[in-house]
Amino acid sequence: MKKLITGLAAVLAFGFYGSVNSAKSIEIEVAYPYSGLFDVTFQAIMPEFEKSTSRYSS
Amino acid sequence: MLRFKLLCQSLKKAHPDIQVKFRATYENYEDATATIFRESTSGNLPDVTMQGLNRQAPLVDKGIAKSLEPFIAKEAAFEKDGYHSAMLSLSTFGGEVYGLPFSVSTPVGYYNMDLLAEAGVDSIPTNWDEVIAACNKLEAAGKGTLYFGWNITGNWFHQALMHTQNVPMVKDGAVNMGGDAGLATLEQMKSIMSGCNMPNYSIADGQAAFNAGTIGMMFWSTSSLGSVNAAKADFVLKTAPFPGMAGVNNGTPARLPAGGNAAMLVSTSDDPARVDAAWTFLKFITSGIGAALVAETTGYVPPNKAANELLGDFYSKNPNKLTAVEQLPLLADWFAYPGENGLAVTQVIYDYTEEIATGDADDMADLQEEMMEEINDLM
Repeated sequence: MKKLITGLAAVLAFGFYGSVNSAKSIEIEVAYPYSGLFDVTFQAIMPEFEKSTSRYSS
Repeated sequence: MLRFKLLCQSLKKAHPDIQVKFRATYENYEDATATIFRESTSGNLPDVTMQGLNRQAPLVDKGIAKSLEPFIAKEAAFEKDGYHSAMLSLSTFGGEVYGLPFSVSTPVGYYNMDLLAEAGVDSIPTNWDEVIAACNKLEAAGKGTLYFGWNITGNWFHQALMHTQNVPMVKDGAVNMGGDAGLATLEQMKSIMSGCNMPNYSIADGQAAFNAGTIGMMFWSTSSLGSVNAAKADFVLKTAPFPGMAGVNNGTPARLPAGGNAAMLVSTSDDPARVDAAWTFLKFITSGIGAALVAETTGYVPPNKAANELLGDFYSKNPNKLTAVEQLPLLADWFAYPGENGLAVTQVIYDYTEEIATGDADDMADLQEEMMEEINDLM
């Protein structure tokens, strides 16, 4: 149950992170440990990653 | 953070949009490895997984993790991007890089300076005898003593006490706790836990007791510094180097195990674009930007050199996070136990150590003998 909850928390927090551009988008799946430590880290990283990957896509 | 944002503007690159789906988080590194093994069997692997530095080898041995060499070879400025040999060596197996370190940690001491002052402890302990003396003062003042994180993932504190004596936990393919250093490690753990009358805390309860300000000291990974800062009561917190063993290496650790994790590519996709996207993500989170954000949000040390430029005067403003950085010269292997039963060996050591924590074990030589017999049966 705990894993399900943390998984849901991750999905709620990050969801399918990336801009909506179905024509060009590629989905990847990622898993990391210790939600108590790294949720906040990925919350900080993902906006930067999104900017780096969507800058020139239409 | 503003500094990051400005620098990030100049680092934007053209890539197709990549949507990242996060799977349920692993509870710890043992769970991370066990989950990947299950997913490999069922054909349901993610594209990127974060694995404990001590758990990478089994993924390489089983052919689950992909070599990153072909991807690195295509990078025009990989070294310039801050990926240096010492960092890559943490994830190199058989001469090939299989992971990129995401976070590096060392064990440190966390101190509630207010509680220590109230108990008359006027200096931070430098060895375990001094820690126990501080416990005695705390108890005399009616305060709680400590949480010593023996139950941390991967027998990390056992390995820390072995490395303190400059003795590796694994030697010649076998667990190396059967000798004098192993006995000294168990004796030291017993003296800390019984000398400080430490309850048999779970990890959560030990950290909660420290954060609530009811105990004076906590020995744990520097990784939790961000969460401790966020959760702690109103007291002055200081971190300090992991204590040494009195009479060993002048009372300071000879070496310490490198904790943390690495990002590994485990994608089974036959779509080159998806595999490239996974590499793009893996590289980004371990880049200078990713590593700097790890340092900002946790207590981990950024493995990527490029993070240092981005972090600027971060450590002078956050001296508690500097403790782990200053211990970097001591970094040594965090060993995985060889063979199919590596995870089971970890659990055997945990179970025997719990007998110390509960006070059920008194004679450490007997405990050592029984534990080694069980370990050797598994190897």
